[in-house]
Amino acid sequence: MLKLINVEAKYHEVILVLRGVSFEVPKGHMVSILGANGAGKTTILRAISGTLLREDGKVTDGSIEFDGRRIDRLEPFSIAEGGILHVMEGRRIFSHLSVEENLLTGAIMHRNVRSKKFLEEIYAYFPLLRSVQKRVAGYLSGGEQQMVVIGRALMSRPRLLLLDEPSLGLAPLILKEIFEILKNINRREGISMLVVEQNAKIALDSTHYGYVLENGRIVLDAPSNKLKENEDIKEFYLGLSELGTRKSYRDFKHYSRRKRWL
Amino acid sequence: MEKLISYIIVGLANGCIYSLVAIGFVIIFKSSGIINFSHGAIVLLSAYIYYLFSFQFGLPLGVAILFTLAFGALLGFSIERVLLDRLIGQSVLMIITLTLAITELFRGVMHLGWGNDILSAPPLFPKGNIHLLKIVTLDYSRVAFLILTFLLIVVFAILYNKTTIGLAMKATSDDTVAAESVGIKIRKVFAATWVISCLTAAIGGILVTNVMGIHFQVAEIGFKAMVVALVGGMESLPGMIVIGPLMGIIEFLASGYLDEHVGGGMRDLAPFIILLFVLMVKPYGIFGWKRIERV
Repeated sequence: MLKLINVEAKYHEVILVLRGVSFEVPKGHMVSILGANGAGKTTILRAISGTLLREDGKVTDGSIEFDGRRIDRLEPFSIAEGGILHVMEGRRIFSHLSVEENLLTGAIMHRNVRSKKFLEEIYAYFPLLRSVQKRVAGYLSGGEQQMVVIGRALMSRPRLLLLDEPSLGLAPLILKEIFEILKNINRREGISMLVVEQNAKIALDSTHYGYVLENGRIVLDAPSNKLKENEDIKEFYLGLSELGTRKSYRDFKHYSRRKRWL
Repeated sequence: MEKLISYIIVGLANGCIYSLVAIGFVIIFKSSGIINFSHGAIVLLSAYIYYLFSFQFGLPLGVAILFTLAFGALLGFSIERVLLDRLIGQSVLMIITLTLAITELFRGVMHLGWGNDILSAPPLFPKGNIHLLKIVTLDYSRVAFLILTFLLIVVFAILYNKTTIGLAMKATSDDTVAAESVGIKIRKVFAATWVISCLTAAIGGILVTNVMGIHFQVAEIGFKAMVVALVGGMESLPGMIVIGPLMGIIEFLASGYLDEHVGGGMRDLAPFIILLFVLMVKPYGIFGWKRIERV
């Protein structure tokens, strides 16, 4: 469904962030991209959704295809109209609008803003939002805001959802709840998802396939349950040593394992 | 007592002019975060254009009004498309500076085109006064101002709260990038904003010719209206409807009661003193959006 071939992206025409990234999101699948800070995860999503243009960035090589159509030269709104919705990092809600208005903005591009049916569907997935629908969104808790943002994206009936670190700043319990809902939506509505995460555990637990990104390159990819068993992933992303116990960082100095893919 | 009441009513009617002009500010600020310093100049330019059509070309008043409104809409559209479109995503400060440049440009054009004299266009409303309570007299054009301002505010309240484009405007003003990410065509939103704002400026310009005549002082209305917008809160239409007339009243009271003691000029000074105090207590204006920052 979504296919990136050798994508290279630069900011300000000089800072090379993606160095030939290729991967695929099949229809109906949930795919995760893991990586440390600065690996280029967010840039991948921006390149797909076209918002890279607004950060003075550009896809300089390779191509991005969605359903066989090249989308790497399109304006952000036409990519959104094509069915790719980008849920940006840091819960970009419209903080002065009410929860309901926030959700309705998602339906603007389909020109059926007053559609009560859509709203009801969103409230069915996020029952919590129903009780706060008239409140000003900026005053909600982090978890509620994350739900608003995801709900807003769903209102525009996407076929592919790009999620940029939904775990950011959320309590583990809320996080689990949100990922449960995402899995649920994926199963029932068949919406494909591309999740970018630092929290490798929850990402691998909930997705079908995972890619590991380092320094703008994909270095490893496998089905998520296989990836979880990988020694390197365990060591560097899940923080487990060979014994399956938590690593004591007192021994950090003697930490000598080398990443095998380097 | 009679003096007091007449100050209040005349001030109220005058204040509606400020409200009408301030609405233009608010609309642009609400959807793009830009403070448009050229708004006063656009009001004056529209007034001159109305003068051009109605007096110099001798067109019937209705046609002249229609042409002036069309001019306003076109002006807004071209400012946005030609000048501001390239600056989407750039810092707001740059855009604000650009509006200052536009102001100077228009001033030059008006000076070249119509010179320094005080001009007056053919009156829109029959000369005559309404007598209220037998003590105050208001001429028809001020009454028309009052009614039109209220009507416009109702129209905009509906626009913002009941329509799709209004919702898109509110979302865009809140977070431009996020608005774009949900598929809102922000370039269309910006263009619509400028067209609407310049339309209100054109309406203001036409009406102003009837109340004050056309000369360079009229552009100062822009500054008074900006004070109204700041005191009322840059995002708030209800703020404009309350603060505009209130500011008018304060002006007239200040000049009526204080001028004899301080030697005049209170009418121009009072709004700014009020602004100073309001900004100290409520930096976002009385009805403005409080910046929401969660810690």
